[in-house]
Amino acid sequence: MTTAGAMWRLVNKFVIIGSAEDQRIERFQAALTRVGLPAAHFVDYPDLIKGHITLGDILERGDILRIESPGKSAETEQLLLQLGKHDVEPHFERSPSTRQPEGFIYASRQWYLGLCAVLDQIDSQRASAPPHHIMNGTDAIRTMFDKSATQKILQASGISIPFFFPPIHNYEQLRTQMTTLGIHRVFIKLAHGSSASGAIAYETNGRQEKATTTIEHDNQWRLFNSLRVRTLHDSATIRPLIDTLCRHRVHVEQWIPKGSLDQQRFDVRVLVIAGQAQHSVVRLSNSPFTNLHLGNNRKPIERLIDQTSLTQWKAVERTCQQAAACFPDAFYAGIDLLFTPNLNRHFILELNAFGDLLFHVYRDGMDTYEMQIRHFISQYTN
Amino acid sequence: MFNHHLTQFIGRPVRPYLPDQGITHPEDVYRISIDYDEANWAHKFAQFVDDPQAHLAKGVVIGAWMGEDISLSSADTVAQVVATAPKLPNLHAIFLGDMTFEEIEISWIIQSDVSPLFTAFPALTHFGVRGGDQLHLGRIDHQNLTTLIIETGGLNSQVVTNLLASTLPALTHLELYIGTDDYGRTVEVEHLTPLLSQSLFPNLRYLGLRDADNADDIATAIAKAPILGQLDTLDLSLGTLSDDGGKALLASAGIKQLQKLDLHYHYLSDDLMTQFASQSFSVDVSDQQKDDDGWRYVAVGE
Repeated sequence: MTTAGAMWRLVNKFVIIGSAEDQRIERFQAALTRVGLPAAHFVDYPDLIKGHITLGDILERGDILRIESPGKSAETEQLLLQLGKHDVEPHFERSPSTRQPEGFIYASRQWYLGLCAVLDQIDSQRASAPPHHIMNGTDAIRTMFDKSATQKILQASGISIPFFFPPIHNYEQLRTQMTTLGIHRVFIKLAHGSSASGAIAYETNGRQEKATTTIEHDNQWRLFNSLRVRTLHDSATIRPLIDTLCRHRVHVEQWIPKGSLDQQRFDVRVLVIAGQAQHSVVRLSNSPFTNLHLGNNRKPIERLIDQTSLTQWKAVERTCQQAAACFPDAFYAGIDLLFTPNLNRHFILELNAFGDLLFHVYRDGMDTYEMQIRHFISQYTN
Repeated sequence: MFNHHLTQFIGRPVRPYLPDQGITHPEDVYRISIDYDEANWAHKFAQFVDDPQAHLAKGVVIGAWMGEDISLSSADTVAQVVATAPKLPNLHAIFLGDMTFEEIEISWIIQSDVSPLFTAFPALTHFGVRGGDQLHLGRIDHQNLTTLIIETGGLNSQVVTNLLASTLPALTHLELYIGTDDYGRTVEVEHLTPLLSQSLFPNLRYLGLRDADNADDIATAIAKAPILGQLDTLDLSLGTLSDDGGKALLASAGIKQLQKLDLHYHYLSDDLMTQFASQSFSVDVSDQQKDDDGWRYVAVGE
């Protein structure tokens, strides 16, 4: 391993654009310290968006720019919504101009267009800065935050993914398509959502229907994310819920049954760094949603390998690497995949541009941040 | 509940049957199921049966047979298992319908007339089935069946009536998921009366009347029932049992001679739980549920 001194010959400092007080920032800074490097220069999204700082004033030759998640900052969320206000297409939801209660699902498409505007701003400021490096490039972030665009790219690459529907704008259209395609179970996801955002697992046998979701609504049909999974059986509630969610732009895909491990259904998160599958964790649940923030269980990947085989796991890693390679400017990607009930097939579900926040998962003794730092720098010192 | 596949059956690990690997552990139990996008359970089962080690199979678990066409009942599956019985001479345990909620809602599984299985396998000791819609067992006349498990979101009374008119001299374990009336339960306490008041199955030692939304009624009826005299274990878990039913059980003389009373997943109060815990026999009152504004739900509702 090269010494801190040697590393500095070709790289200068780290610059992180993110949300203040986001634990991602703390953890990355802590990882820099462990590696023996100085703390990163932090740029808060609001300062960048409002023009209080420009990257041209900060970036020096040899710097490494890290674009982090905008996180849960309410201020940043509002700024992104503002930026996207004029671009959002007429058939999609527009965000209210006033602050809404905790958990409110703001206009997802509008938010995404605002994110793209910030990424454009970053790119244009970078263009006039001295030569520097970047971890995840803006193209990768833009695309990974569009589930439909991402899945199309993976499909074109021959990677096994769930079948996805053409654009769905309402419940009626969904039901018609499900009948035409002979598909009776679907996941309805926000096309621009992060892994913390709500989705609906919807199924019908032609007579009865059932929707499972963490999304709640009030009397005015404002939608909120919650941490509670609930089920709906009544068309009178399901129809308007789906109609309302579709106004945010949704990605609808076939719900492929997940296999089970240790008494629960499960899927897997794999972090690919610099083209190699690294930190991996099994996410278990008693509901269709395995997101860790819902209080679901996790298990080490060795448990899954015990029940399947190392050969099979190596094949999964290869698929994940292949998926990440579809985004050449992505230094890392958090990849979600499922195993089928016979545990012999896997499908890629999602790619996450900021999918490296994994607690208590270590590989070669390093957390996800330390490994990124070491691998990134070693590209320039070997 | 059904968030995972059976990992054990008749005391053996259950493994997914993969045609390209074949039967590598003939002493274990294989689950034969198809994925959502596979069309042909029959083909996979035929491959299993034609495996050189298939004749050693003591048990088999039948998983998803329907792929994406969930209107497909178990009829063809049952017919094929019956037809291949001669190739499975050691088979004495069958589970029909090991599907999780990821694959299908339990009340959307379409079963069929499974009685030919009892005729085709005279050596059958264990039979389990999941899915109550269209399920028909008929009156069973079987000398060797020791264990019968019927898992549904709502049990049909005709199934029970036929069952209680059956001849099952070896039956030691009877486990019924009663379910809710929303999902097809038509079983009422009066349908169970012959079972509770007579010794229909003289060797019965475990009785499970589980997942019942009329758990209080069942508990009240069974508290005074003669059948308690022959049981080791009474299982009323997973249902909506509340203090009404709990008190009836506590007041029961017959309960006291049980070795085990399983009431896990229940709506009993803390006070009743404490009273049960201080009984001389083993009681499981774990997984207490709190009612949702007066609403109580069974563990497997659909």
